[in-house]
Amino acid sequence: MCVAYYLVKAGLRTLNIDQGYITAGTSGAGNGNIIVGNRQPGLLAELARRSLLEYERMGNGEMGDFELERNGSYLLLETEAQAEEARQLIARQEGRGLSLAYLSAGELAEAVPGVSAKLAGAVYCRDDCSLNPLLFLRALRRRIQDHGGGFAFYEKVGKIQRTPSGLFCVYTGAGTYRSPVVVDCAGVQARPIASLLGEQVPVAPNKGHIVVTEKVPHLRIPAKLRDWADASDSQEGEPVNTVIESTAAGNLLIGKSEAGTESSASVSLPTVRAILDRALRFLPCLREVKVIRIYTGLRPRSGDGLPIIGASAITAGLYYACGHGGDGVSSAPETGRLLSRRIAEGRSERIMREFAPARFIKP
Amino acid sequence: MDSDKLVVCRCEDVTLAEVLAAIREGARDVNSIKRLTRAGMGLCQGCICESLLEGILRAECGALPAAKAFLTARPPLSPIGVIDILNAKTS
Repeated sequence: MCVAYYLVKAGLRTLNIDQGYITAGTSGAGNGNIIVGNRQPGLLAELARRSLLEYERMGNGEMGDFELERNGSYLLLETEAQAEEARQLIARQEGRGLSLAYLSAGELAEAVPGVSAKLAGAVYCRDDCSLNPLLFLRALRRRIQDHGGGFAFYEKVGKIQRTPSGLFCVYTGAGTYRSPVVVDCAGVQARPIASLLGEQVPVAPNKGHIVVTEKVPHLRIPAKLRDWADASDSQEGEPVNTVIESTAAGNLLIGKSEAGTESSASVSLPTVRAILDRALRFLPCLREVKVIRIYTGLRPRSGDGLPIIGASAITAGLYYACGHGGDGVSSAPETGRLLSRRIAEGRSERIMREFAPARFIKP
Repeated sequence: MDSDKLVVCRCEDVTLAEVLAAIREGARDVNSIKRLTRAGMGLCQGCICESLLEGILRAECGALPAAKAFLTARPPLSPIGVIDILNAKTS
């Protein structure tokens, strides 16, 4: 939807075709985090940093409130080796505009009541934010409509053909739509959509589990708690690492798992156990809390973990904005801005080279 | 009765007016209404309001295919302690 937003602002006419409603896909199943501070600063962090500027601009009046909060996050350190690694990262980041601060175990315990006394400390990432994806999508849709953009909900694309004059004909069963440009921004459906035009885009679903607890106002967490460690294999379940946060309503969300290619939405009990077991190492008081729901979401992961943004090297008029994995919310506005400049003005900013579809789909 | 005061989801305190607004906006399946309004997100996970949501949507928009009429079923069936999940025997 961010692609459509920047296209209509550039004066183009758009139609978003969605097989469900705005909230049905991955955006409605994630936790709405904008993660700027990462262990390995790189392209994803840069997309997040630029996206945050766009979110702040949109949130300042234009779109109304979508609960954008610069509440930061704590990267939790378990060992002295991690703490040393963290201090080195902070030293390297000095003066690069990323706001990271080291907290000793004592300072962490003061900042986050209930945190395990065994932790070595934490890195506070002040720039990390969260937003309410549902409010954001609703606001975005209104803005797109204000600019004349259209929506076709509950329509599944079944066939795309090209006319001799180069127009795409998109058939959904409910309608036929013609356009000189098609953008494949279909999330976990990106691969089947591209295959309708004979292109194989390597986007596969990567399943994640999130555990939702009852409302626990006495355990409100001031900022997201994140694991310094990467997801690693658990004894029986899928690879997990920890992320814990409070929702506006007072529930806790406890994650998360990283699966291979697994497209079923089913819940794995061993994986849930691994998530909870690991989370208890950081926040022992979770032991007393009740779980009300365990759900899964599918992250649209690309072949190399970086998003695919830009023009097809084979089909003129076909563009991609997909493969963002778990970083969709973190990088959506900048993705939309970059791609709309490419489509509307023919300009490719330097960073787009790194995301070129041609790294996977060659003529 | 005033739809602003008629509560559809008691766990999350969601009124009929809010559900109708979600339908007016374009939601045509109960999961989307849930995500928009929080109806069904509470302690009972829709045990009470799922059929109400389906009924309201059917009354407004006509008969629904099964895929749009039911909330996605997810464990646990009723709230369970973190420690009980960790201690449960697998067999």
